Amino acid sequence: MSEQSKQVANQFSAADKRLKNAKDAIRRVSEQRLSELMKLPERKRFEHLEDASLTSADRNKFRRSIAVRLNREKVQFVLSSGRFRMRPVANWVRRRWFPVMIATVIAAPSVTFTLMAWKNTGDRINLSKEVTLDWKMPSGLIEHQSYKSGDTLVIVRESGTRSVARRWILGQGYATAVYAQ
Amino acid sequence: MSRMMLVLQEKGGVGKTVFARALAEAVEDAPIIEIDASHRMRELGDRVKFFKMRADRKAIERTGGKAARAEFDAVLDAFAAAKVATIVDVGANTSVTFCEVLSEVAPELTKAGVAFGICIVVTSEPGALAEVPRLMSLTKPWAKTRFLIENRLHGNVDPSSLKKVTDGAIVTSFEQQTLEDGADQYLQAGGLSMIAKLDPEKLREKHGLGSALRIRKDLERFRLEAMQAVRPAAEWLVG
Repeated sequence: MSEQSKQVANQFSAADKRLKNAKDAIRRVSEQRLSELMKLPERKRFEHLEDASLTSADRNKFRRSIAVRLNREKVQFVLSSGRFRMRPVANWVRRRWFPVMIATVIAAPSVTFTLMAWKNTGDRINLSKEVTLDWKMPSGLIEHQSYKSGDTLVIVRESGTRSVARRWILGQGYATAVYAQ
Repeated sequence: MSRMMLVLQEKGGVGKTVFARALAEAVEDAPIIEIDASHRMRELGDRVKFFKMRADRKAIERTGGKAARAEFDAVLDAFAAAKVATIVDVGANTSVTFCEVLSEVAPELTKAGVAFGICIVVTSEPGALAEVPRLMSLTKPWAKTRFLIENRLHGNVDPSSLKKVTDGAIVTSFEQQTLEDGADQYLQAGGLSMIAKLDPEKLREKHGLGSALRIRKDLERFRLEAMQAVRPAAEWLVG
């Protein structure tokens, strides 16, 4: 290798080292800042969630520290509030508070969506007499339509003797009509 | 024998001067010839010999090439006088005309001991991509070696398009760079060579600790990756 080739190789090694040093400096400052922030009371930590001195890895550690602490506080609050009479259950939850929290986080949206779906599912009825309905189309237009005895309708809400019928218009959405029984 | 590395692209805004600067960082003592409408590599001081080109290439072309030849005479004299590895940055709207003129004298210069390397910069911008085959074919008869840098400034160049224009050149890529706010002003003001000269204290005072450290890291990364993109060209230049 010629002297000039060695110099070129050295330039690349030096540039590489400079970048490494620059990254190390960021890491050092971030670690130092993280250790300072971790000494703060939990409530004070919220003010530093977006601290610009933290690397993304350290910011995640910091955020996790707050989340873990808060969840532990919540569990302790519930367990000590006297609402849990069954000691074995309370003990079980105490021992497994983290999986319970995860399961709750996963299950809560599912339960909510199931309840909403159940509430919005209509009942199919057979008409006992002829009726004419004014359907309010998704576009806002009103459409009259007559039904014979024995035809079916889907009812989604009932209030006294008045119900709301619903039907799906392909590519547009739901049309609704008031149906007086 | 002296070697010359010409950094070329007819279209502006592809990062040609960035790679000429990166070559200057990699080959520390190499003199630089800058052929452009404006002197951009001022930060390199006496290392750079600047040859001013008239910005209006169309006016030059209207003279049937005579004006172009006259304009490049001094540059060609500088080529003939070169005794060491030299970096040549050929400005936008000048590369094609210059290569046409150089094609006429390249055999003489080669006999005199000059070896030419070509480094073409390309981006995904269609105009820049379209200029590559022309530059490749113009330089093929007299260039000892050719390099193609894919600057991913506007995203990756379509691989099949890149393959079509490569014509046997050694291809390297330069990734799209994300810089901390404020970093670009240092690059614009002082190119790559100022990165090592930045005063950490002053950076900290101006941008705050976290931002100053990130500016420094982003600039060092930019410099290293630009140098890596020109590494094969730099190694040939001193080989």
